[in-house]
Amino acid sequence: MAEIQIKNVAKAFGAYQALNNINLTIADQEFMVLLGASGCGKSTLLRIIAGLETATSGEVWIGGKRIDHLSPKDRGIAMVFQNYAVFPHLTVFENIGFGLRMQKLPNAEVTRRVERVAGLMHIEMLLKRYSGELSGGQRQRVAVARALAMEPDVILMDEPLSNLDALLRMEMRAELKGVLAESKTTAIYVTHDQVK
Amino acid sequence: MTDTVLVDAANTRKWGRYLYISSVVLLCAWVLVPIYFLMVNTLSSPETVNSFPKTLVPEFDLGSLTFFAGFAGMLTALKNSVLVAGMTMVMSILIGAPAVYALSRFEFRGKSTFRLLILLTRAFPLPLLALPLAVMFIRTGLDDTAFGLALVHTTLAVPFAVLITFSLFSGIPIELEEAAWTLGCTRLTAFTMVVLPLIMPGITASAIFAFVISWNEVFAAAVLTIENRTLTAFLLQNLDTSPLHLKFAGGFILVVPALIFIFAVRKYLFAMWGIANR
Amino acid sequence: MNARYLPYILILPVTLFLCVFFLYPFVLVAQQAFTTGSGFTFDNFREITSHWKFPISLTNTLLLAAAVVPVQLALALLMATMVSRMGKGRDLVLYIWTIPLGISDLAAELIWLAIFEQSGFLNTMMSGLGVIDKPVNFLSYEHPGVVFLAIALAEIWRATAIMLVILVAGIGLIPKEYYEAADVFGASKWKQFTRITLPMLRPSLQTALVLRVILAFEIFAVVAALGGTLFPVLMGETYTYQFDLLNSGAAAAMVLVILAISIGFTLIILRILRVPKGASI
Repeated sequence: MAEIQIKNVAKAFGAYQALNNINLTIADQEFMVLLGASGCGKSTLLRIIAGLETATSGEVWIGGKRIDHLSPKDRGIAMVFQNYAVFPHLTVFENIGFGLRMQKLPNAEVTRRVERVAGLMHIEMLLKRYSGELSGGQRQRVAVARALAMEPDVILMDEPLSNLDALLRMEMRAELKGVLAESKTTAIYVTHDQVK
Repeated sequence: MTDTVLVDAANTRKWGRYLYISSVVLLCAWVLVPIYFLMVNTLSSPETVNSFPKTLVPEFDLGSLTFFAGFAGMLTALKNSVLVAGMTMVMSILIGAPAVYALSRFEFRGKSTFRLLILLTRAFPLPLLALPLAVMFIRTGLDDTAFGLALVHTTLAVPFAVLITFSLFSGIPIELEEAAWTLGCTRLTAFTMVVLPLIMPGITASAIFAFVISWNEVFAAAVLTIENRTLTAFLLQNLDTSPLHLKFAGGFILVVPALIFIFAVRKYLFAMWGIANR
Repeated sequence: MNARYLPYILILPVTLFLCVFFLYPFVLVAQQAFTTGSGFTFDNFREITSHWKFPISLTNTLLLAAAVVPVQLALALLMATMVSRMGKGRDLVLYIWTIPLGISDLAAELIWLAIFEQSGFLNTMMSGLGVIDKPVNFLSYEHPGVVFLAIALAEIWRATAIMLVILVAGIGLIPKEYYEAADVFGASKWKQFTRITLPMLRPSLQTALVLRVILAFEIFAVVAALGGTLFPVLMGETYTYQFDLLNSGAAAAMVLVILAISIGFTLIILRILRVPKGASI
């Protein structure tokens, strides 16, 4: 069960009110798309849920637990960043397995999970490469695979497709939906792209 | 018509390539030839060094070097130099790196004042810093010790360390760190697992500078040490009145460890640069 | 740990260190500059500025910086861009170009002395080519131009590498996608350099220039060996006041003058090359 509840969340940057009393409930396993023009605060909301920003006021609940005072690592979330944030000094395998290693999972388990999500995202053949040797689309897949490997309750995606070309974007979109539905994860997807 | 255009383009590219290669070679020669001249002088007998005209190949006579090595205290001075430079290197990274992290990742009151303080240090003609410090050191018993000199050299090196790592640090996207946090890292582990490997080129570069700054520093070393002279201070003391062949041999001895040191860290440095090339 | 105090804890070691080994001695020097034994006075400044050598050494220092720094900047940028396109041999070339980084000014002055002194290599080559009959004493008062050239060359030779390293590291951090995008739009290599490399390199350029310009005002050892008393510079005069004339008040005043010039130039560079907030990579 990972229902997300956002209660009266507000965020101000100095005098500028970025978010004004947001109330939102996202049901378990729902795929929620936040659509809006650039700079309207949807990324900020996502970052508040992830714990990368602190809300000025309000509460965030995931799966019936209040989490807005926890640090990002304890929230049971995974996030896909707009610029992918694939670690340049690690191979694709180590990137995907990064979070699992942080949980100190045994090697065999890390390998099993990395190979599974790499299969899901069709990047099995890239596991030994470095970020610098990947195309934008491939990096995108690594970023999603890295989030999936955590088997999180909630996956947050911040414009993950905006840096891809149109054709690739359509392909990835369909794929993402399928993969997420299968993994039974609650997902929030932020975009300014009206086609979605 | 299209053929000539293609040929022209190919020609331009070919000439561009020649121009490129010859400039690279020329710039290498610009660096190497003066050092070669010094080596020729060092590996010639004292008589040749003082005669005219010069030959452009060394005669591999160890006369100048033996004369130089005969100078008492050389080895101790060398050991002191390495000791002081090593301590400077470690201290400037240890106290410099945390500050750089704070500068590049936090907004805090007094940040610009702090940055200005760092820059100010660089704007100060630091050699003269040694004069009031000498008095202070005598009082605290730090005078004529390798550690005392290393403290002063760290003051010279820290601003370099901070400035250099800072410019590299600000080039590392904050998202990499944020991603690490969402993947189960604390601030500290995100730093050691993600940031540290990425800024290693900066840290290495800073460490080299710190070492080299200390290795090369003459003035403070001459003021603050008497018995435990570093190599530069020792050479300076003896070079003023010495003949040409001793000067050149001394210069060469100063250059060689620097060559080796930069060569030793080169692989590491460049490998790290390669990784930083996202 | 509370994130609000964390930055202060992180900067504490450097701050303490600089207070003890930089600010404190600096206060002592400043105190000395404004006193002559009988309280507050400007006498030390009056003394140094009225000395006939002061305008000369000031002009010399500025002239040298003006001649050396732009050449070094251009050279370092050229070398850095050349290296960034290099495939094979990159490591070797980069190593050779960074060699002077490890060479002290004491050693550098001796290297260039070997070339310019009377029985040196420049004389050898020129007489070999038949340009001159007998060796010329270049580093004498008869050849002020050559003295200046020798000092400038030694400085360019020695201290370009430090800028090169900073710029190469900076260029390495520019995402290569920008160049790929520029290629797609058909931008020439020169356009890519002026429109992508230079603006993105601003933080590194800032660092490199500040370091270099300030060091240029501190030039001392190279000048001492190649120019001697023929080419007085500010730092050399400071040294003379302190150790030859034993006038530490005047030396302290000189220090403050050099400091003022250095701060002035640092502020100018920071202002010209400032990085707009949020415009970094």
